[in-house]
Amino acid sequence: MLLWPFYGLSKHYSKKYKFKLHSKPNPFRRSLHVFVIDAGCDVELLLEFYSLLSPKYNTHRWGIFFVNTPRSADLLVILSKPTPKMLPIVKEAINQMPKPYGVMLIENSSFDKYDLNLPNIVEHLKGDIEAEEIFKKLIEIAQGGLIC
Amino acid sequence: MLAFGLAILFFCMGMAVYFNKTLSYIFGFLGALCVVILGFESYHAGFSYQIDIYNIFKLGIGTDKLSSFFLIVAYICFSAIAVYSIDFGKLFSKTMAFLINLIMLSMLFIFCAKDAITFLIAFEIANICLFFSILERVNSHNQAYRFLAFSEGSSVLLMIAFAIVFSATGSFLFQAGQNNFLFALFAFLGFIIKMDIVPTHVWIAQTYSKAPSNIAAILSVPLTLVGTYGIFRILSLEKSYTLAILAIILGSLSAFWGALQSARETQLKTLPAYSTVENNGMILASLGVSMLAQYSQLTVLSEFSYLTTLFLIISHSFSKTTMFLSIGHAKETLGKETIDDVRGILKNVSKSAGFGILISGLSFSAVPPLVGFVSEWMLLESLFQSYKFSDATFKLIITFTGILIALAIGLSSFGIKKLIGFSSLGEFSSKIKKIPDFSIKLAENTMSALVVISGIFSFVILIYLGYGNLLNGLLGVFKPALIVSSKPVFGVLSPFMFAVVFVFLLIVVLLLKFSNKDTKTTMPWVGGLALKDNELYNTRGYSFIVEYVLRGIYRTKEKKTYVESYDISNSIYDFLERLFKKLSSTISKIIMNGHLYYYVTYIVAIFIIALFVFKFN
Repeated sequence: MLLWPFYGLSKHYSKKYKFKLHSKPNPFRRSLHVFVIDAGCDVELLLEFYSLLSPKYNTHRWGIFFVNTPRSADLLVILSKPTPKMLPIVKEAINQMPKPYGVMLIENSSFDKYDLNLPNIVEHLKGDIEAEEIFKKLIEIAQGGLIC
Repeated sequence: MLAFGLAILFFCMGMAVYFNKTLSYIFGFLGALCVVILGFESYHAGFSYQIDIYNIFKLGIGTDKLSSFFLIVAYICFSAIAVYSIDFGKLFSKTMAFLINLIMLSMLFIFCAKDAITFLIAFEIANICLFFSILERVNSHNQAYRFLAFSEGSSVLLMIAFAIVFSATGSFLFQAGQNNFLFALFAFLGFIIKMDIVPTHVWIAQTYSKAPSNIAAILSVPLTLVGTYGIFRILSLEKSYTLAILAIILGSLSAFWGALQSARETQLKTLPAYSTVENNGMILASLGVSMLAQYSQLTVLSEFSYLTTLFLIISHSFSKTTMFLSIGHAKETLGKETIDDVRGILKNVSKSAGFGILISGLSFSAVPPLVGFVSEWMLLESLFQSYKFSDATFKLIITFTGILIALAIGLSSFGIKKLIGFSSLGEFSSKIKKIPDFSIKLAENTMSALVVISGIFSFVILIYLGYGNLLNGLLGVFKPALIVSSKPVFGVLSPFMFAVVFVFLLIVVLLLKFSNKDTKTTMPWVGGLALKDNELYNTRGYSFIVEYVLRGIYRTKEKKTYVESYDISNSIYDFLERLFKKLSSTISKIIMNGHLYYYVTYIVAIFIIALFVFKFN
């Protein structure tokens, strides 16, 4: 028990992630500005997503910033499939974004399939999604650049 | 002389067919056109006609250079107003057609009168007609009576002035008032009330916004031109340093005060009303400088500042008429009172109204090469030449006037940009009531074009007015296109060349704009929802910085959801109002309190007094 500081130094409490990165990874070369719209999701996904803001993930070090307006965002994250009332707002947000931009759809439960006709979808996550998975995807997009 | 007769005939026919509004306004327009022709005819050779009544007093009518200039400017505005009223008058009763014709007729006699009696009769008729035409709008009694009170105050002062002349010389002719300081002083005070000079401007804010727009245009331009014309006449009759200095001080203060109030104003018509105060202040100050230079034997400066005054009059008249006509159009279509409520006039109401507000507003903000820029540049140039005066007091006064006027130009530009930006160029659509607007658009477009043309071709106007010696060719500009402010050269300006360069640069900018099509315009992001009324950046937000910094002058009060500010020159009249209300209530309580024995006491007392008076006389 006395050796706990050594144990602490040698053992990583947080997991080590492996990313599929392009040729030369450089975490500080680019930055990704993200605008999030809650288009009708449940609390579980919301909590998972907003835990990305905690120090554990330290998104700023990876060049990921959450912004308050789509006008300065590179990536629009839509939490769950938009309800009919939220769809025009989502489309207006996409209209306000400067080019080039990407859209990331995240659903944690299955909905009726209807076509959204959203442009530039770079990522579509489905199922029970955890924060780490979103984090991985965000970093992949940030590192790889937006490919639309 | 033929044009004079024809004009009277047309105005009378206009009055006679008042039951057919369209025909009546067309006659009014033809009459106004005849007066413009009369003005151009008599600018070089005026006419004069005199009659003797029982060999006791003489009455006279005639025109000279000065009255011709005023006739041209005022009746160009009148003809635009008459054309505008053909469609705009359909919203009001038949009486207005009659009244507008009568106003035009009486104004003709005001500018042509050579004696006090003709002048005062015409003056009173114009005032009373304007009073009734303000009443055309329902619930405007308060505002109309305010106007009448100040007009009659001016009339009383003029009557006193003419009575002084009559008692001294036994003549009613204006010429008899030469070198009579008391006459000049009273007439000066009477005319500055007509010019809305501070502190006699308090009625304008409410009256202009309540009056129908064509009447507001008449109140703002031809009526204040009467005051200006009077001041010109007096200062040419009586060579007094005191009056010239008074004119400079009152003028500059008025210009500053008008601009200061227009910076905080948010009502659609009140803002141009304060701009009228500012412009008239500039005119008065410039005339004062001209007279002072003339008395001090500075011929070139005197000529130049006289010309400045004439240009300020042209600029004020054309731009203000355009502005009131356009604002009236927008106001009647949208049915709103504040600048915030009439956003997007250019997109929603009509192009001509939007451009009218835009061009006249830019002219007031002194944007080259419009006529407002030319006149304000000339004013500052003439004020910068204060060093030419040998007297230190004059130097000091004119320098401080320059400071006040420069501040006024800046503040006025701030205020007018608010009007243009929020009303003409803003984006917000509301319900539109369709009114017939062919003649309205015609009048607006003509006046807007006049504002632009008179600015660009100001050198042609200069040559026509007979000031060709102030034109030159320098710095690559050809001979008559350059206005020179002094000899030897002090400052130069060429609005014509400016326009040429401006058009060339505009083409380059437009080419660049059209070649780059990757521009996207979007509304502000408010969570993706459409903007509500209270979420737009409003006029209060724009002018709050001024209201806060100058909170001592404006008496700014920050309430929970809005901000209040106040024109403190109103406080004098508020105080008087309260005093008289209290006085009348006190008198009614003490003396006329309804008890019978009080009245019996009065009767007995008067009986005894009368007995004593007649007994001992």
